[in-house]
Formats: sequence, C-alpha cells, structure tokens
Amino acid sequence: MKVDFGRRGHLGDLLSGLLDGELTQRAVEAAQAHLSVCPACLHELEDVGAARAWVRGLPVVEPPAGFYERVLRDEPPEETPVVARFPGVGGIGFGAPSLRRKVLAFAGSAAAAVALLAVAAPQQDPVSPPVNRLVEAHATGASLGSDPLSRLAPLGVPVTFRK
Amino acid sequence: MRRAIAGLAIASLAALSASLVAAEESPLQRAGRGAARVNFEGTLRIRWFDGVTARSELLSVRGANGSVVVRGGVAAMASPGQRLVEHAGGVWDLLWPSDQVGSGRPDPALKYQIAAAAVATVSGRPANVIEVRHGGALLERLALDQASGLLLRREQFEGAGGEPSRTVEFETVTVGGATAAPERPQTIVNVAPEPVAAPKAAAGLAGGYQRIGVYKRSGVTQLLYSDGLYDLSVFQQAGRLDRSHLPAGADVELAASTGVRYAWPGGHVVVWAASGMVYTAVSDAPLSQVLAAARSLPLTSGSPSLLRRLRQVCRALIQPLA
Repeated sequence: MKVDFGRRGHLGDLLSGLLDGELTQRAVEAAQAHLSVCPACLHELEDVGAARAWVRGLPVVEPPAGFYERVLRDEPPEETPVVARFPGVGGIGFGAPSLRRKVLAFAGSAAAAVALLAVAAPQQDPVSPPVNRLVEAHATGASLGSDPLSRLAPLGVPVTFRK
Repeated sequence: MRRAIAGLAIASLAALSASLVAAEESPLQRAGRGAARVNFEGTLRIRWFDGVTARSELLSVRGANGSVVVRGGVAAMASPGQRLVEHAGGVWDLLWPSDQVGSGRPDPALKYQIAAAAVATVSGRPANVIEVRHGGALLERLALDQASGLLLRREQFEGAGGEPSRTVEFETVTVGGATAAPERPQTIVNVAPEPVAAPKAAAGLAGGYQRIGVYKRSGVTQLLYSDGLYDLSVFQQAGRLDRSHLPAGADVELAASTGVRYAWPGGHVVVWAASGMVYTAVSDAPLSQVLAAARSLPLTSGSPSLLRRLRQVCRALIQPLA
C-alpha cells in the first residue's frame, strides 16, 4: 500500500480531522503510521492539540442578563441616559451605547488584542533539530551521483551521538 | 593530408573532452558508476571513532540492476535516482524521489590532489588505490575493484597519527554472481524535499564549497554545498536553539556563538544558533573543513516579520476553532 499525503508528504489539515475523529478507519491507520515515523507531523499534532486544549480551557463568559432574549427578539438594548450614568456631565449627552457600538467596541478590542499578541508574542519558537533525520537527509542526498556504498553504509548503523 | 589533419584535430578534441570529463569526476563518483554496473553481495565493515571510543559494525550489502541495499540496525536503499531509508514497521521513507541532487558539483581537482597509489588486495580482490590529499595531508584512500570499479574500501584520515578515522570496507564480497535485485519496498512514505529558490543563500562557503541545491522539507531548509569530493548540508530552522532536547555533544566555538558537535559513522554534525536561526551542518568532510565552512556562513535573520507574526497568531487562534 502506498500512502501519499499530498505533495509535501505530510498530514497537514488531516491532523485536525484526526483529533476530531473525522477520518475513516483507513485514513486513521495511515495517519498513525505516518506519525510513527515523522517527528515533524507528531510535533504539529502536539501543537494543535495543545492549542485546542488551551482555547477550550478558557473560562466561559456569561452574557449579560437578557442578552439572548434581546438578540432573538432583535430588540435594541436598554438605553440608559448618559446623565444618569455620568451625573457630572450635565446636559452634554451622546446617547447610550447601542448594541452596534458594543459590537464595534468588542471587535476593536479583539483586533487590538490580536495586534498586541502579534507584537508581544514570543518571536522565536524553541527548536531542537532532529539530528538523526537531518543526517539521513544529508547522507542520502550526498549519495546521489556519488558512491552509494560508503555514503549509505553509515545509515545502516543506528546513530548514537556522543561527545 | 587534409584528412589526416582533420582526423588529428578530431582525435585531439575527443581526448581533450575525455580529459575534461575525467577531471570533473571525483573517485567517489567513479565508484558510484561501478556500483551501478555490477551485481555484488557481501558484508561491509564500518569503523569510526565516536569521540570517546573506536567503534565497529558489520552490515550486509547487496547490489543488482543498479539498486543497492545496505542493512544493519537500519536499512538504506539506493535505486536509480531514488534514496530510501527503512524505519520501524517496515515503512520506508522516500527521501529523494529523483536524481535532482548531484549535478553541478565542482571539479575536485581544483582543491585536492588526486593520485594513484600502489595496487592493493581487498577481500581477495585486486584493487586500484587512489589517494586524495589536501595541502599535502592525506584525507582519503580509496580502493576500487580493478575488474568492476566497485568501491571495496574507503579510508578517511583526520589529524596526525596515520590511522584512519573512518573506514568502510568489504569483509566478504562476491562480484558478478547471479545476485537478486533488492526488493522494492511495499510501504513507502514520501518525505522528499522540494527544491526551492533561495537567492539570498550564500553561493559559496569557506574551503571552496559551492552551493549545488536548496531544498525544503517539513519547514527545514537544506542548503547543499559541495567541494567536488565532499558534500556539506546546512539545515536552517527559524527559532531559538533548545539545548535541553539536544543529545550530549562537545562544545565548539563558531563565529557568533558556541555550538555543539557530534561524530557519527559517516562524519560530523555541528549544531549552532545565530540571529534567530538554528543551523545544523552535516558532512563527511574533515571537522576542520566543516567548522571553517560553518563559520563562513552569512547569518540570516530568523525573526518573523510583523505581518508573518500576525498571521501566525491569527492562525493559532482560528485553527482550533476550524
């Protein structure tokens, strides 16, 4: 059986399907066979799983009382006179924030948060080179157009790196 | 008379072109052609120094119809234009799908002195011996089967002492028998890299190493260099080096940082980090050449742009919800 996961030879979006249990049994077996030999996909699977766990672990935010009912009725939110909320402002009123303004405010906050995350997020992920795999990639590539015996023979020895 | 002159000119041109072809081919390339031409079977002894002790392994090897398979704790296969390595469960990784590597290597004679030495006998077979020197120092001694051109023994020398630091040698070999061709693996996973354009990658490194290809696999960029005899790969990954997950190695000073080096049966590995990139150099060249080449590598910033970071954050936020 030849297993081909696409042009790049990696699981890619199939990882989400694997986590969600959306793949067929055959695809699951093929994906697991690939994961057993591909540290890159295994690493990505762990990352995707961790990100999901992180998002799902966020506390649930309860909406204000009556929010769902208002949305279902498509009613404007209760309006509170500005004067009542900011007594010192006197007669200068801009009207109470509408639902639209709240949505806009939320969207703005979300955009700001994303921008902040982008700027403040750790710029560099930790990298631990898969030395064995890199050695394989090099030795096999070097054997092309050259002597395969002396260049592939070292790969026959399970690599152990020592000082 | 005219015919004679024309014939002489053609013969001279043919001889010149033949000598040019020969000059561009390293002894290892010649041995590769030998291995592709003949059927053979035997056991191969590999010896190397891992930095602490001298080590040795015996492998089985078989070649027929242009395919070669080497089996020890791991199996590796060369079939025309392809390279595969077997992993657990009989699954083979297709690491190179076509003969996209190997062309464009520089002429080794520009850097090395390559000369025939005394004839030797290896595993009972007469062999032509070729020595490769650099600056007078012996680096390689290759014994090629006189009848077939098959590489019977390769000895690599580093440092003083005269003892080879790595050896690959047939202990037993049968050449030209009715050897069955290595079986094509049943389960193959394609993990081949894609050639990529990398106009900013250094075209050359110290020691006459010239770039002969740039590839990308699983987010790792492989810059492949060659000096005609040795190939040297520099793998690049954006990020910071996580030393806690690296195997133990010996510290080594590079231009901008301290790296870690390892010895493996096929040569040397050096891992280091600079300017937001993690580099891993792998080669069968002497360590001094690997370090010189590594130190000469122009640094590339691995810090992602603001737009890229924004995309990464958005992707991280959206992916779990998709």
